[in-house]
Amino acid sequence: MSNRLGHIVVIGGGGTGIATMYDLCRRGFKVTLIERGELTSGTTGRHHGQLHCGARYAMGDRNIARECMHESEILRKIAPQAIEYNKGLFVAVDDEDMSYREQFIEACLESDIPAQEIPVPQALNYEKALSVKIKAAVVVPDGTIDPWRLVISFAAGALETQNAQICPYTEVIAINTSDEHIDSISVVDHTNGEQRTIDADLFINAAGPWAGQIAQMAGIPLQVAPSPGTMLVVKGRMSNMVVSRLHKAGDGDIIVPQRGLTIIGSTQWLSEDPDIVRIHEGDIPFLYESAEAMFPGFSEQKFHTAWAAARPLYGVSQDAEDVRALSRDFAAIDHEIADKIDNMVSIVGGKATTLRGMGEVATDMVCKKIGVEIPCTTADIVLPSHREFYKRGYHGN
Amino acid sequence: MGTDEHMYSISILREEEYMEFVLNLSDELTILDALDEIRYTMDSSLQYRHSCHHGSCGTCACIIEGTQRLACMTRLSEFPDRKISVRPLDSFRIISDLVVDISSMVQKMPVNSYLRDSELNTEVLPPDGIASWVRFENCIECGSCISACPVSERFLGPSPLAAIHTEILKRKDPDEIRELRALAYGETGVSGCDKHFICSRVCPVKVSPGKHITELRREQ
Repeated sequence: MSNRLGHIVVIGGGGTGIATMYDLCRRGFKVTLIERGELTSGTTGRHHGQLHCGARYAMGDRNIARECMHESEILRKIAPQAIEYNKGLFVAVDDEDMSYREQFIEACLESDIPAQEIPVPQALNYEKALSVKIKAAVVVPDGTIDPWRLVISFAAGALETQNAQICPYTEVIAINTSDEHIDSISVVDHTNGEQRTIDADLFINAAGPWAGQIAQMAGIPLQVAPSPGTMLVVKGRMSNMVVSRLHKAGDGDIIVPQRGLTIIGSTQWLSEDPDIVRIHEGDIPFLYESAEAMFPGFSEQKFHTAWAAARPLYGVSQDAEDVRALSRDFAAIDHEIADKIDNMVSIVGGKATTLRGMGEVATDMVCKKIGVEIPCTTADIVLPSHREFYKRGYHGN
Repeated sequence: MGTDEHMYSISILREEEYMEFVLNLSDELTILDALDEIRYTMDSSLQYRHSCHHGSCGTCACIIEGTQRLACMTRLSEFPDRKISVRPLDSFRIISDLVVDISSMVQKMPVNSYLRDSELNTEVLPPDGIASWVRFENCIECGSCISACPVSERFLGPSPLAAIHTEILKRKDPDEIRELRALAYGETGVSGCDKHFICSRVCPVKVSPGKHITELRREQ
């Protein structure tokens, strides 16, 4: 499977890998995507579900905030059916929150996020579950994502180009290198137990919290810290808008409605093993209590479930003191320069909201490496419905 | 979460035979957690579908102790004798272990909107830039109803008919509605339903496909 531009293997079937595959295919590359389980089964599918307009990050990093705003607008345009777009509210609950309000709005505006303060009675009218004690409310363009359906829409878009081959349930067991070059990868297909090698001109590591393990197979040190967090879900849709606490981004301060459910998240710790992530003791009572500050009555809703997933934070050592302070940014790394492997690129970090942008940056890097100039088109093409995914060759149909 | 641990016997149908895994698990965990534990600590070749882990994506449906359930929403504590059998959904092509190909179901669903109006705060106008409060459809396309439906003749099946019905209610264009109605009342449409209503019983998100079929019949 190769053409003039060459054959590229993408390792990792989460949001990053699939959006990268999609962009590569759109620009004419032949792509084989390898995922050891089901698509989005690692981190992407388990994320909170917030479409971030960037307001949460505006105080900490204007660039990340601006990028989220830009990408969330694009996603709303290219994948409208995978997003409940009802905007979001940042609410000030106490005096400390209030002292933060002005700088928060200023930071949003400086990041091109149209944050708009509204009178408290209007906020209470929008969302009846809100605490009547809130002191201020700011509207921002947040929303809710269906992570599985958003990402398989990208996969459907890739299959539509006829340039993609998706191999789920296929695990990388070795990366075969010689003379500072990757010749092939060895994989095992868990659906039949068969091992095979896959040649390619270039390999992209998009394995999220597992990206460090994949790089290690090629002898490359790559610092990716699996950083899990817990989400708690109750039955009943308590709001239409995403509701966040107006304060310095912390734990348990975002409430995301989705279908007939309401989800509060998150917490954060560092883990060595992204495979099995169990909920931390104490997270559930903490999340209930945090939700109550914004939605009194949250605890009276029927418990639905709780889950945890490992975020992939880039460039972090295991002894980092304040995990929240770590960047939500992403990085594309050309291992030719730093690690003397001339045909591997890693795309790590980031968030679900920025998946398309990550795909664009990774594909730009590939184009630059092989010396071609092909423009990115993924911001302008509306993706197929998630239902198209099943009609387009997944599972070998 | 939860500290009560017990030995569980999880028997998983793999190809033609059940394979038993015996392992120590916290009662608070779900069947999906147990599958993860088996895969990561006992047998890395075990394959199953999963994504969201909170009952929203629909990928992890399988037959647990004889009933179609979402693995992520089924707790071990529901099975006091701690012996649990898990097998793939019926009526779909099996890819591997618990992985089935649900294309045959999704292909019968209209490729239209997955959004609908939210039932919350309908009397309040949303902020500028939003036409109406929206939310995703309830159906998570898990395939449980198709697997449980006893009808063996050519039949669109419960979830595709429910999807066609919700689409008819949302559409305004008479031509589109006519096309959808032609599907609903065609040879493989509502007349194929034998009114067992098992679809509605097993639906993990209470879409009540049986009710949609009943309503379609009434609207014929």
